Amino acid sequence: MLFEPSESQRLVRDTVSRFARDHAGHDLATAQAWAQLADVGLAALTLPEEAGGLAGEGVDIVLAMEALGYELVFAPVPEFAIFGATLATSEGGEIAGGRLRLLPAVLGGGALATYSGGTGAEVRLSAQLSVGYGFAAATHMVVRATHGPDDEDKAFSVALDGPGVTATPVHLLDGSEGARVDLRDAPAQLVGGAPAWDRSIDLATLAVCAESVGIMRRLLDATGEHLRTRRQFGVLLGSFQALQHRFVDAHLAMELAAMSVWDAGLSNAAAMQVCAARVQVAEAAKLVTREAIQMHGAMGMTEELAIGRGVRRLEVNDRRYGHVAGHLDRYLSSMDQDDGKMTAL
Amino acid sequence: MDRYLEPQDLAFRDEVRAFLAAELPSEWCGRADTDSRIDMPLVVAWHKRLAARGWSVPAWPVEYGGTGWSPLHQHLFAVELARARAPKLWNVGTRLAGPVICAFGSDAMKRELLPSIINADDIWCQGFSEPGAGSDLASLRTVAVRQGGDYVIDGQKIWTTNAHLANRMFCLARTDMEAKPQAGISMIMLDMDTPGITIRPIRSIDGAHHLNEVFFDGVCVPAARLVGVENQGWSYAKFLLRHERTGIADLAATDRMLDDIFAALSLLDRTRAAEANEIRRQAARLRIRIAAASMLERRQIERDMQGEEDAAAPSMLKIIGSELRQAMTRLGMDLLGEDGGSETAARTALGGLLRHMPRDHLFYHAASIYGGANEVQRGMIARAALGQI
Repeated sequence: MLFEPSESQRLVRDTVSRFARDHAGHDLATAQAWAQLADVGLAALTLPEEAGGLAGEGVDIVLAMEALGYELVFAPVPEFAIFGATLATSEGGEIAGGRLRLLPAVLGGGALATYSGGTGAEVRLSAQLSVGYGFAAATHMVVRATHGPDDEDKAFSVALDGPGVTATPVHLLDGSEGARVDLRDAPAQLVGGAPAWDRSIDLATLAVCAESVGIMRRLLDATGEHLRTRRQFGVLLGSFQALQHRFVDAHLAMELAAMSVWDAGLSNAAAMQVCAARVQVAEAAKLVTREAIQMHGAMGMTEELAIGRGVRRLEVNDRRYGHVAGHLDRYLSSMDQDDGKMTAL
Repeated sequence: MDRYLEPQDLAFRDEVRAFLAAELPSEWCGRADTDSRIDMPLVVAWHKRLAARGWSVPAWPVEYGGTGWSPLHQHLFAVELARARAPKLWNVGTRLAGPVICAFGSDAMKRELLPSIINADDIWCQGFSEPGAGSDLASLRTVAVRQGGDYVIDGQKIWTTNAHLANRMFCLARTDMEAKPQAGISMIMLDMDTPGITIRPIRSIDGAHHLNEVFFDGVCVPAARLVGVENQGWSYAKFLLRHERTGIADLAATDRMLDDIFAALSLLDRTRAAEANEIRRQAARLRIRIAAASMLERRQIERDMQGEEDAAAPSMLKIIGSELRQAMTRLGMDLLGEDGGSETAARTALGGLLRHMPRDHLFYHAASIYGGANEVQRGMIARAALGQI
């Protein structure tokens, strides 16, 4: 069965759904809130069993994140529970599994942090991160750096309360708190190689995509409900064919995105499938956003309805872990490596 | 679909591939592999090879000659044929007429008509659309009047694909003028050489002759050729249209066309480098979309195998598949540039590789019309999602 979750996957989905309904419409981005997420097992979703985790894989991530997204519960799960936990427990990861809340610093344009001193596992780094999502609850930030043209990229962790770290809070479009972070000669510790970093980012990107699918489902459910109940000109809005057809197009785009994300989940976040999901989600999010607001009319512009919150989060998610153009490039280069023999089927 | 297959599925696919390697001559491949380029003599020859293996009507009930394959294996079979660029089969007998006869035909009708569908001794066409009844099929006006042991048919069909090559037609005609539009329709199987039938060609914008008008002037058909019960034709037609939409997305063939586009991209010289970059990115987006659509197809197959009915799924796949095909040929035309302006292959390597593209591009404007216009499909999906409003 490809599309029916297994018993353990259903358990993850149902547990997270219940939790999400209890916290519907809330941000869980503080350190305190993170403890609540940890209680329900989300913090340990992908940790191996010997580290007390649920050993969740791609499909578990998709089910959990869709459930959070659907209830518009926004939490830095991709950052801490997926990226951080994966990096911390991957081969070459030097830090004790899951105790630290690691914030991935994806620098703009694929830039790397620069060395400003030290060698081996203990170095000093300088970098400028424009937005750190989930900053409020983070304890450490992970950056990618390289010594010189011949050296391999590596991932380093920086304690956010340590010397050489300056953080300026920024308000994100979805209402959450992020930060711009400057590192200047900040002490940093080696936590893993480039493959571990890449893998962690792919899993976290999958999580963000799945959250977006959950949000889109919610927006379309709300829009469908509006079309079924709102009367204008003496008739239900949903009786207008122009609106029906546009609603269907948004629905089709969402379904395709959900299928790409499911594919990426089944593949346990294989790089190419994650890129594909990212591209398809971005395409759908534009259409779903536009139609959800337009069909709700002026109410769609307000903070009164769930859709306002969902739309703003979709906009933020379109920027987490790199913009879509980069993912399309990566998809194309994986095709080249595949000698053009790959097939979509 | 390469991915997510169990060992028994992979073994089945290997069996199909071995058959194709042995029985499908390479000179038959790629010549007539899409429905824009049906080549009837080639179709018949290929169909007979499939029939010899017992694979010409996979979806039929086993007692009538079907294979007993699961829906997934039927799907894999179709994908492998498309992937090998085998001649596109003319499915009106095997996928439309045949299943209806199996489900609703009399024993005599089954004995008379099924074997020659299995062996491609008969070529069928579909007598549905009329000048006043296209998407709104229920308003058809061709009449069949019972006179003794015959039905006498008068009226006109239009857009009848390959009527000029067919020897049989399944035809919808009105048998009760008083009833509501859907309630007074019957389905009748007729022979195209019956006196009173006139076929006139319609040339379409791709320059080819696929389409026809068919006129009926006092055409006498034995009453035994009535399918099932009089005035129940609408329900048989709905049954049949569900079959028509299964597999209509034809994603594997679209994916093969995309292979050609990627291959052709490498032929562009550096004066078109910026353009090539843009087309490559669009092509990648299409491949991502095909992959997503094929997952949707797999979900439908899985639900089908569990006995769940997903009313909206065939319509969704019809819309997505047709729009993908159209986007593909549009991109091919952009890639051809100046070479795309002539009907026949340009004498460049690029033009050679994409030689079918200009005519295919024109032909596939029909993809969002045939099999139920996409607007009709959108209406059906909206009803499933929003309920009757």
